[in-house]
Amino acid sequence: MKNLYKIIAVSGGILISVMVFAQQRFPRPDFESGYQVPSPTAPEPRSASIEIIDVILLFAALSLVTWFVLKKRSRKGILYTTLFSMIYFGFYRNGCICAIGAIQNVTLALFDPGYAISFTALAFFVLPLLFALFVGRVFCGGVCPLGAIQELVILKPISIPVGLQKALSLIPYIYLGLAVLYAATKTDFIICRYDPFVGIFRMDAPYHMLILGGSFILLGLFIARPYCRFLCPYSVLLNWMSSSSWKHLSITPAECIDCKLCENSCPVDAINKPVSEPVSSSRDVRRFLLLVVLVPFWVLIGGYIGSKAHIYLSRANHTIQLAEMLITNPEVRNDPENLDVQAFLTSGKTLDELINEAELIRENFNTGGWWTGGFLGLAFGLILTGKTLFRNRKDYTPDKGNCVSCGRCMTYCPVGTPGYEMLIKKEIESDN
Amino acid sequence: MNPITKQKLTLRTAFIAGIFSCIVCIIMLLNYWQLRQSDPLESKLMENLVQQLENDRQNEALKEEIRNLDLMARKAYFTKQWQIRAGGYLLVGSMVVLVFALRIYYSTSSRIAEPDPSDIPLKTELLISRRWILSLIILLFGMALIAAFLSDDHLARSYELVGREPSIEENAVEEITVRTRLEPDPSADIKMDASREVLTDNITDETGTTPTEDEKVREEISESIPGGGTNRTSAPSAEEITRNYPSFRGPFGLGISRHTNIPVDWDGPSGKNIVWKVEVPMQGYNSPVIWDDHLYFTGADQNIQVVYCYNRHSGQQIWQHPVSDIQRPSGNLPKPTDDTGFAAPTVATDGRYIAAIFASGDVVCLNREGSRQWGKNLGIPDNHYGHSSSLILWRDLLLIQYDDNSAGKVMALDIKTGNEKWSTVRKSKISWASPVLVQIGDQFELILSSSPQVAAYNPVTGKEIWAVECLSGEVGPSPAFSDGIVYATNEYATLIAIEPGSPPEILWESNEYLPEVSSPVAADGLLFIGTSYGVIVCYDAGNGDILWEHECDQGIYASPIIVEGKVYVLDMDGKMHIFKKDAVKTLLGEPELGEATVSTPAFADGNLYLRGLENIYCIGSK
Repeated sequence: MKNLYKIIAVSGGILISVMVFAQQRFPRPDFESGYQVPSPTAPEPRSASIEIIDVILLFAALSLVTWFVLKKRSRKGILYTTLFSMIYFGFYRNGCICAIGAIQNVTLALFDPGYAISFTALAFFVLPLLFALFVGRVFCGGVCPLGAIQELVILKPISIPVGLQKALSLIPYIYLGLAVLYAATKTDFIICRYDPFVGIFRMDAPYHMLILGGSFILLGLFIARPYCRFLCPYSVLLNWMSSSSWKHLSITPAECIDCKLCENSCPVDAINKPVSEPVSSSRDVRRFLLLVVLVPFWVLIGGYIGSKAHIYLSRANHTIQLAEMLITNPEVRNDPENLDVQAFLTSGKTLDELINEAELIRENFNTGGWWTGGFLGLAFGLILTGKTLFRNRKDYTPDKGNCVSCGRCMTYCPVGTPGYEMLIKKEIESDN
Repeated sequence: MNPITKQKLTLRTAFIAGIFSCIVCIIMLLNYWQLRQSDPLESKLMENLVQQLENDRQNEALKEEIRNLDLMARKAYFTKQWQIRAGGYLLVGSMVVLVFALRIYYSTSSRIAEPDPSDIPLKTELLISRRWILSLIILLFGMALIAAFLSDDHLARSYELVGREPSIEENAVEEITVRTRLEPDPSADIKMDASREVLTDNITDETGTTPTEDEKVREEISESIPGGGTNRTSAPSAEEITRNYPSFRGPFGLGISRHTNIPVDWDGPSGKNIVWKVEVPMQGYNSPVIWDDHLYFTGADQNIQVVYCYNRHSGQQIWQHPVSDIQRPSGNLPKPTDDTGFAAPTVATDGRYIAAIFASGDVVCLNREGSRQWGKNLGIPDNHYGHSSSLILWRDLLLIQYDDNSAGKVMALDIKTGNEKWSTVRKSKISWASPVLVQIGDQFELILSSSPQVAAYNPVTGKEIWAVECLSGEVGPSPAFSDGIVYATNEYATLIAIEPGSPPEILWESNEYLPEVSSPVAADGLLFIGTSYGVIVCYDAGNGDILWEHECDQGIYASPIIVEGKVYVLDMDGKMHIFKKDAVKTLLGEPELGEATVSTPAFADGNLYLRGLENIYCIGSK
């Protein structure tokens, strides 16, 4: 046994040293003047072996949170895992690669034959989805660093009016559609560019991003997990997986006693209340059928609008920006401070070639606009249709799609607590 | 610790952490603002010192001052950066303490949540949700549609613009491919019809045949009055036109002058054979024109437009006429590029009137005393470099090529009243070339070059006579004409010889040496061009073969002119390359002006007139 500990200690030491020294294959020059090399805003590349460890830790964290949620039912355990995730995946790994940004890597791999997605990016994309399919959104509950930082700053969560909440929940679909569109057209990774928390993790970002991150933190004090609920594009995919999960967090460990103690316990308003009686009428049925029939029209309308907006959307592409600038303001060629234009002019590429390239990209945006708009139309149509369905429920249950498996509600449920057990015991004794 | 004490402690901790966070935040924002103001790379003081150093390179004290200032500025900058970084850590730390303290406070004071007494029925909740969702969908789709319809597809308009890139660096490689190109009809018999007889009012040099006078244009000629042109009311004859130099590239814009005794040797810096030299009063790239003893040109900037008249013998200014108070349509004035300016088009005169046009679209007609006859605006041209097509004045018609990004147009105004006689919309894109007027058979044709076509119009009616689609890109060079053949060209497009007719016939094409700005000139079976990369080429006008070429140190923007059996080609350094008009290269001289030039020379008997960027020169025997 002692030898085993020695082996583990030595292996751990070697791994740690590999981690330390793997960071810099080419050490920075030693400045005698005391000059400090500024840290880059993008994290330095990591060695492949370290990335394997990241994947292993991701799997381990997901498994741990699953255990805390389903078996141990321990809010504390989830919280400590959340803290570890924020420190490791957030501050230590500088928030990169994350599962949310991996959407773009996967998209680019699908659309660009020349792009080879790394195993890490693929694993970070797939593993949380697999877990969500089987056990719910445990990734959100205790592993996602963005969720973790928001979870830890929740102070006094307030409920948002239900209408506003449902309307804002459409935004992740739009963000997902645009992120896929821009990644597929090799324009930009907008999820990474506009990640509000990565600047905090790296302690370095443009000022407007730091302010955005700070604003989300401040907002998160009172509106729980605002990014997760109203922006995160990955939440769309997790929602789909989790809605049909095999197992899921339950508020009560046994039968719900309808004590209503958990009713306002969820900071993200993801608890479904009991529905005492079915309320379907023929009018409701007609409404439902109408909305179902309208879904293809939503798809067409969305696709049409998406394709019409392709000129506007494509302007985020650098090649198109450059071509349009040279066309509309040809005098910019004489501006020596415009580095983009000067780089182009000295590249040997002709304006004709640039415009041809830009036109091809714009054509891709036209096609992509149809798909993105169609997807949004479909999503909106189905969400609207879903808002006509009534389900008979007699217990308080978490909404499988929206519940982030943070475990707060579990602490409110008295069932299974020593106090409750004692109460039951007394009742039984008094009955006897 | 009892809960109440714990609550008080955590609340106070949170309060202090909150105040501390606010203070740090404010200090960081101030620091950031200061940092933005004091970028060492943008320091005005540093700029001034560096400027001083440019003028006084040996000043060691100044160099030391610059070094010290630079060091201080950088130290201050990096210190502030460090302060921001440290502040960031402090802020994060205090925020962590704040949040932690508040969490403990709220957890110690939390009560069991009461169920919401005003429970919304599920049906109502769903109805509200549907309404909000639908509203947001309509809002989002609406915004997307508005953005879509307000977006201009600039790429779709690129066909008007693409094709040519201006030279920017000595070592830049320009490889712009032709965007559209129409091949000549392969079944056409491309041959040189040497026997074709064409009655032209063509201008040949004094070694060729004398021009044939057109009976229709023979007018009663009154006695000419020295110094000011003819005291006449009727339009001058072709003979009179050819005796002067009344428009861009001489009579009818063909690049051929009949004048004699033109100097071949001068030196600007030493003053050799410089009769006079006067400062250009206002910037402009137009070329001087001459009628009798008057020399005319214009100058303009974004505020002022002026027509000048100088005595060509003495260099004294006779009059100047500011062109203002012309009513313009609403809209922003064009912003021409620096290498075009506001006064690129050359004036035209017939001895009675002087017509000028500017980049603003203002056209003005003055009499020979400098008084305005009329002035009007043709519509503010949508021209990204600046309007530069010059004018031709013929038989009381002011002929204007007015191609811009919105449409191609050619028009004729009555020179006496400014009223439009005719206007023809052309199937062409924007162009910077100037028209030429030729006679083919017994009719005159106004020939215009643009992309994609070279076209001829009846100057009296404006009706299109023929057109050939053969050019592309941003067309700068004007056409040439000789022996009944039209020559048109553009850089990265082609050099093409067209035999006018119904239908016109393409005789040959070449793409070896092509000019960007300078217009070609042809006479006696020879065609001369000057390229913007400094090559002067003589082609066989009959078959497009290159007979000889000459490399210069500098590019050529001015157009070559044939005069007195010689070809005068002026490069941008002000060096005139004078060749014998011959199939064999014979360089006769390379006199230097000593000043940069882009304008085409003007000629009169015994003199030539050069407009540099700063001065106008009269060259001749003193």
